[in-house]
Amino acid sequence: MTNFGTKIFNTAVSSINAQQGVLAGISNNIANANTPGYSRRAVLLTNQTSGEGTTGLNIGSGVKISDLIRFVDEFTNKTFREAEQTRSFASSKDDLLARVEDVFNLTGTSQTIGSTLTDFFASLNDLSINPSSIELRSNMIERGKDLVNAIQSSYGAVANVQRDIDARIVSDVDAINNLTSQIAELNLKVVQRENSGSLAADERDRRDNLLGELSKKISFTTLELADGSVKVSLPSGLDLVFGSNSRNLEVTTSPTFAGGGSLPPALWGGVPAFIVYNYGSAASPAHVDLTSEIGAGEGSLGGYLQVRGIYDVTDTSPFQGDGILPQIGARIEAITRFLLSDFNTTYLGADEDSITGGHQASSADLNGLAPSIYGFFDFNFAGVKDTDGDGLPDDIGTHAGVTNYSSLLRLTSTDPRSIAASLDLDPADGVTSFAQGDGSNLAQLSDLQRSVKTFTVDNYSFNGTVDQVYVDAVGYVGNEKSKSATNRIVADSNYKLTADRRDSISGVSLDEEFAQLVRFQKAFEASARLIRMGNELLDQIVNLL
Amino acid sequence: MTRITETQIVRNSLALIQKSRSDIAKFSQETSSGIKIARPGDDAANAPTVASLRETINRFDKHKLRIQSASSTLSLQTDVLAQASDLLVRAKELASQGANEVLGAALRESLSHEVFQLRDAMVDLANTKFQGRYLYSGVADDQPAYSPTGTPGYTNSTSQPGSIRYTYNTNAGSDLSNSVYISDDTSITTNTPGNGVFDGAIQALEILGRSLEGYRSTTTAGVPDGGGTAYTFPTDFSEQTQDILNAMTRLDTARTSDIAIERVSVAGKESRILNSTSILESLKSNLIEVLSKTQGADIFESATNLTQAQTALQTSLSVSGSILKISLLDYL
Repeated sequence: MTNFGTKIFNTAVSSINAQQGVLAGISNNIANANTPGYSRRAVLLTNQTSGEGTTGLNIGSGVKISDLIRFVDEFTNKTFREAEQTRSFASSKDDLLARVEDVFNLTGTSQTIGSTLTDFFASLNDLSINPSSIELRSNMIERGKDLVNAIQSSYGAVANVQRDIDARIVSDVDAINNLTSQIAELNLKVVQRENSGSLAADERDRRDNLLGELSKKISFTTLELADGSVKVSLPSGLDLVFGSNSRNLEVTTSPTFAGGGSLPPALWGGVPAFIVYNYGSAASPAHVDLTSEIGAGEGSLGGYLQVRGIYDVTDTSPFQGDGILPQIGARIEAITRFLLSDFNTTYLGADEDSITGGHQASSADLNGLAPSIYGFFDFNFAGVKDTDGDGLPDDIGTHAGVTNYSSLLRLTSTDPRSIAASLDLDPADGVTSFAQGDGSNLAQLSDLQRSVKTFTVDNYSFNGTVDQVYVDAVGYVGNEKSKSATNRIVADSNYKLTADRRDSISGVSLDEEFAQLVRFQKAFEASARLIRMGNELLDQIVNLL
Repeated sequence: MTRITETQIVRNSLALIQKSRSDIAKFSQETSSGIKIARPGDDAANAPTVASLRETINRFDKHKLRIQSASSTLSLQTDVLAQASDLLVRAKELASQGANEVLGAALRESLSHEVFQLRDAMVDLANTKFQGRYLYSGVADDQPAYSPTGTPGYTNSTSQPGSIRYTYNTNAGSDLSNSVYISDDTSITTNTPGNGVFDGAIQALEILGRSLEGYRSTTTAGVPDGGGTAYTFPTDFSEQTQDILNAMTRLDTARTSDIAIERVSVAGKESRILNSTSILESLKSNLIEVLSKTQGADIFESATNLTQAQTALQTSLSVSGSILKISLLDYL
């Protein structure tokens, strides 16, 4: 005969244990309600069957914990990671462009290349009124300095953003290596724990969280293998994490695939960082270039590279990089080269002596002296500037070691008397005659502002006036910034939606947990009451004796 | 039913608060600065227009300043030419007196002194300086337009002023003028080579003075070359009278052709400058209006938006505060 008294005790005890287990699960959920990446869990109960008894009645033997489950939807998690990638990509791009955008201020309160260009050409026209006036000449020199400063500071600002991006790439790649290494370690723990038959809930949560962090940096694909480990690969298939192993990415400015040859120059003068995988050794590296692949993706690295520009190892100019900053730099450089080449060529005047070889300047300053080849605008360079020896400033791009002229731009002279405003009045070859008050060279130079020409700097080509090049730069920056701002808003919104979706599945609801807490607390109290009741029953039986 | 967790509520509340704060920052900036496109990304479609408009307006301002400077030069030229014309009128009066044969050679000689004074005054006018530069020396403006010709001066002259012959400077560039842009496409010359203006007048005054003084003037292609013998009186008295009358004709030609034409030319330039100023003002006014419409913030709209954003923020804070405070825990 079944001893129901004992059964009551056993059932109550099993219930107390089970309810406590559930309450422990609830308390863990509450404790981790704000833990990033935590997925809520549920302790599942099942009734305990006895199968014993002679009466054939299977009343049951109480309750037991059957399983622990994580509320996770892999598809939602994947969508969430992708949204994080896009958000991180859009925000990194937008933040960087906001810094560049300040260079092209439209309020009219600060000097820009556009305003200084206008002021410079106006000062040149002003000098036409009285070409020998020292005051007006000084004004033209000052406006020339303003223009040089505006170009240098604008170019410098763009170049500094590029340099800053290279520094961020280094720290991002370090972070990626750290993350992939941790994911690999967690893979090992997941496999070990789940081989022993228990769910590696904490390890999986932490791994999901790390994958989320990784998705902020870079685009990748994941595949969960049968043993519970996750394979993380770049879109091209290169595995970053496989089982308990991870591959480190490297950042280098001396990639082996350059073959020891020259490397592309960055806007800031150094070598742009390449993201590589080294399949050789530290002592004898052998690099595979991953920059283009990572740059084509999302995450902050994708944003950085698309703004910085992705360089091919064979590029020879900072403006050949495929990205936003090289394009902005090219527009500034186009204005610089116009000043160095076109302005200076006109400044020299026509060839004064067609008999003597090379171009002889036909303009002169107040001292009657002809200007040098780079007569008004010059650049810092120690070597020979007239590389082809033709007497004309048409050598841009041929000076060894000079990768941009904008950062090197300067005025040839700051002496007001040195402005070559006059042109030779004697038509004879080799014989010159100048008038102090002649401003005919100024008239030619003034016409340059309105002359339409094709401005070309590597991949950039624009047909228009020099003023319009600046307006084109404003338009380009505006378009890119506007696109990035819109993308950021969309990405933020999408991130919020996917985060909400993820939270609706995996997030901890305190109200829900409190309700469950009460529910299982009551069950626990009832179980305790059962023991008391069983005790009373036993007492009554004992008292009968 | 979709589960809503506290994290979602916090996230959405913060997003709403952040959006409202961002709007407040934007609209307060618009309201205080009056500008809604401060950077290219604020309105990519209109940013190039704003940049272009700003540069054009700036250029127009510079044109206007230059016009003021050119205008003062032309104004001075107008005064100089009016005085030159007056001098020639006075010279003609003296010539008329001198041509009267009632006057003897001695009285005619006494009139020559004033004529040479008028000639020197005319040379002074031709050598007028503006901002330290000679106004009528072409682009060779560091040299006076007229200076005494050393050798030969006038030969056979007894008086000091009569022996001096003034000729226009032959320095390179003395026959050229400078062009100045007074708008994007229009330029004017602000100086005129003085020989076309004053040669006739100075030569006429010198011939008249020498005739009254008692000397012929020989010419080469109509220009006195410094030669000429003394009249013999009374034999050459009629010839002297005829030379005085010829000089009067030269004075008339100088006044009514050279000086008058230049006065008309200067007046024409002043008129063009006036027109340019007016057009620039009008264009600038239109451009400022376009710029204002494109870049400027509608203060009332911005202020309204600001108020709305503030209300939205207050509502967000209030709602978030209320919702986040409510928990099942409070009722357990």
